[in-house]
Amino acid sequence: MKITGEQIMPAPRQRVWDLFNDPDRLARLIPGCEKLDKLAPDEFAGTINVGIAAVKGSYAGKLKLDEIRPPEHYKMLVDGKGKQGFMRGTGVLDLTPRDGDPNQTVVKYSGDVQLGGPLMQVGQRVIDSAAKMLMGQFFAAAEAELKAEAAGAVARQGFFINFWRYLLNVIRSFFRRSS
Amino acid sequence: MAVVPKFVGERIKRREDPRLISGTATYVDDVRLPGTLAAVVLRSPYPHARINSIDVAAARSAPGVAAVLTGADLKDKVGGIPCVAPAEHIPFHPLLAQGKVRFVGESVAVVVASDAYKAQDAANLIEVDYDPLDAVSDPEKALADGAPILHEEFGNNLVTRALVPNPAVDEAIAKADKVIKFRIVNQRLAPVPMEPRGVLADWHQASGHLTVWTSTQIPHLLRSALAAVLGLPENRVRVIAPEVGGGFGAKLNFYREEALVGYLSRMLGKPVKWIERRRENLATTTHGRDQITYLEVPVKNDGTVLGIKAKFICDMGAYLQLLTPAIPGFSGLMMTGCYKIPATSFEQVMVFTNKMATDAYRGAGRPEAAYIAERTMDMVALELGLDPVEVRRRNFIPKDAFPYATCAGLVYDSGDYNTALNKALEIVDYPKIRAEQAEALKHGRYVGIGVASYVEICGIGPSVMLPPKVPGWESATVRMEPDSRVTVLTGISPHGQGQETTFAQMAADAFGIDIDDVAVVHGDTAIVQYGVGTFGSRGLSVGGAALMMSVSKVQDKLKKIASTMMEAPPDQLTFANRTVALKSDATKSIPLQAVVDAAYGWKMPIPGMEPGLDATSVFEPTGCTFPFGTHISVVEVDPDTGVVKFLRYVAVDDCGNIISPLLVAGQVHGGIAQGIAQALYEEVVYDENGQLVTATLMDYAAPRAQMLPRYELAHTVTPSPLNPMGVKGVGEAGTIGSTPCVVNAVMDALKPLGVRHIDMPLRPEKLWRAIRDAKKA
Repeated sequence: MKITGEQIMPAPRQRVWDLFNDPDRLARLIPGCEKLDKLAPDEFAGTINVGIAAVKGSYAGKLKLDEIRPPEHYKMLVDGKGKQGFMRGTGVLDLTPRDGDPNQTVVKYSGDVQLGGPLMQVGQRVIDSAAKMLMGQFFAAAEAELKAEAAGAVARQGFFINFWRYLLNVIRSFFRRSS
Repeated sequence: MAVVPKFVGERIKRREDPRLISGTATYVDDVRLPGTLAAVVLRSPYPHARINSIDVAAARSAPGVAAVLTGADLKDKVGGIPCVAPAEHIPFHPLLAQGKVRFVGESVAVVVASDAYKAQDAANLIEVDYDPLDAVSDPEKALADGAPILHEEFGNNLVTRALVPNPAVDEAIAKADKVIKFRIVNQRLAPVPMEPRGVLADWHQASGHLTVWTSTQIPHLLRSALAAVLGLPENRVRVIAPEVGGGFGAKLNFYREEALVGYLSRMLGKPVKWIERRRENLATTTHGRDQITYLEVPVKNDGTVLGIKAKFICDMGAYLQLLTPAIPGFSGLMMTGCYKIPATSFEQVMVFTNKMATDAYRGAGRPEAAYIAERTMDMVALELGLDPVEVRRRNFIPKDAFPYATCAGLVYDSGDYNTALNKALEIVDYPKIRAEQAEALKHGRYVGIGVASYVEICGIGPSVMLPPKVPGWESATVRMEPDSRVTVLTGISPHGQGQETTFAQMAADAFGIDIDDVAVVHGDTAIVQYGVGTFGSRGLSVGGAALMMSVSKVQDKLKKIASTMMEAPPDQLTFANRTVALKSDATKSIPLQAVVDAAYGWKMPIPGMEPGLDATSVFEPTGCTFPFGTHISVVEVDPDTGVVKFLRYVAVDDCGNIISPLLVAGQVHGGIAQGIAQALYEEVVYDENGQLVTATLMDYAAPRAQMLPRYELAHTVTPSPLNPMGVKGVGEAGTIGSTPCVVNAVMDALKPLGVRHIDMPLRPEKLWRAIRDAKKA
């Protein structure tokens, strides 16, 4: 499965970079993340709990960072598995300041993930849209986090709150575009 | 007394059906023994990985768990799954993975618990540490340098290479007017029987007896294999195939779970049951087909085919099942179809890939062959601008040439291909339908007409056609009971074919009794003498021939006894209406029961004759039968959606004499459905990393009723000289004729767009793309 996308974050590049390298905050932002520990500067271990189609389960895995060039680029090597299958893959993250607005950052991501087990066998029809939804949730939460950080507060966590924020953002951006 | 009617050749409803349609049949899962434990198999999610460690501690202590086994627990304690077909490389095929997994779904551990839910919960607690390896799922890449190797001990992924050279083919290629070259694919298919596999094993400690109920086509062969793997004497193993809900070749096999469950029952001293789930069925029951064929066909400008040169790449999967490497051979032998092709040569490269093993699937090698032959005929017609019907006529083996020896070494018993073709053309009204096709095209409608004249091998077969441990003969016992009712014990193992009906028809007519007076018993090794089983459309032509041998032995004895009672020579006697009567004068008769009473009585009328009325026979055929026919389909392809719609489907089949017309029609219907499924819908897909993508029936497109046409069936009758009934077999014919017939029709519809060939399955998306690309060009 290939995943690519682009998202604009409402913060300068360095702050986005810091956020994407902070396991405590990432743990709150990644949908279903139960645990995320930094084992080494370039290595994380964690557990996430997600349901795709009828396949719900917990996956434990390692995330290794490579080609680290702060504050603009890193590559991730993901290797996770659970009772419902496994995922292996690589992802690349590129951060660039938005043209004409250093207070916004363009986050470009692309990944190639291999899935196996029931997760793949039952979920493959919906896995693309599920991945997009999870990415959407993550970025909505990250955006809220960055905004709250700018306002001096810490984002509240939780799937529903993040989801409503995400929806709210979608609605707002819709109005922004139309006006 | 009411007159007993004749049954053979009549439209008799299947005697099996009331129990099947009322839900009262007993399948493996319906057999309930007190104290039965349930087994659940833990399977690999990886197509290729090394197993570093397996932690079963938590599973062993989970509630209700009786045992947890891994490959290490079985090492050197049980044998492997046998492959009886010859091959250069036959790997050890363990019951549970030994250090490495080689396909998605490979069994890694088994959990036995008080019920299946507890067993599954415990299986979820097993921690397997895998070290993933690169996988290969494309058979054409399996032999490339640097391809991941499945079985390191062989150094490459070659199973075997079969070469049948013939210099005459190269000469034909050199002197031909034209050489047509193309590549066609018979995609991988899943047999999808309605009843998945299932096993129940019951070890009786005191007597050292193991009884195994399993959903199989070959109870006796399975008993031999099971006894060998578990190290038990064969007379202490009883295999019962209760009601079996379809096999299609996938249950002509011996699987890991059958051995595992037997082992576990013996180990635990309790009955153990394993029932396959649908996802397991799609991943771990043998698949079929998966052949790529490169063809070179030298032809003359008038459409005469001078030879066929073929190279096959055959995907065997990760391990070899019972007959895996034997299946492609039939494709090579039969690829000349019903044509007089003077020279053929072929090379078959069979390879290991990280997929489930392939093996027999309805037709087993012959659908591939018919697809090659019939696509070749249409390619020849296309390239030379001839009518596909004319090309077939030009190349047919003439009807006076039988028995006909093909250049591949087979002997076709009997045939009349032109008559079957003509009959199909007549039913479909060929000139009219061609005119309608041309008219439709003027209005932008893409109508296609597909013709396929097939011939196939049935009545398998003489033992020399098969590997040593799967003989080709069949057995039958006929016993006339003291009340003059008949019990037939047959060595075949019907699982939907309906021999409880056909054999009863035959026995009833032979003894002049009612069909309800005949009981047909099969599928229990403790009751039925050793037999071979049901596959290769052999039930009637081989099993039925054995039946008739035993019938005539019992008839002879009855006649001898009756002759002393009637004072008439035995050869003047016949059986009719529950009497033994004079052939010349049916009014001179004695009741059959009186003769039976004498045979079972305290005083035999013939001194020295053994009391009782039973006989056992084994029929070893001298050759295979070769049923044939012509299928014609008319389809319309929607250029906007790529959807194929059937306008007509005509099947003219020649299976020799017909014992039971309704059963023949049923076999043809089901066969066509499965053949159309291959042509248009079904495909087992593994992605490039070896993950199974078609793992559920949501994704594996087994067709539904509304996707299939109305069938117009007809027959020609060319009896086989090789068995007393003159029958040929019809279990697979529909599958063999229909696939090329439908593909030819779709290609014919797209001919005006310049489309030459599209590989199966011809799904709407594929056709839509081809149409779009053709229109762009």
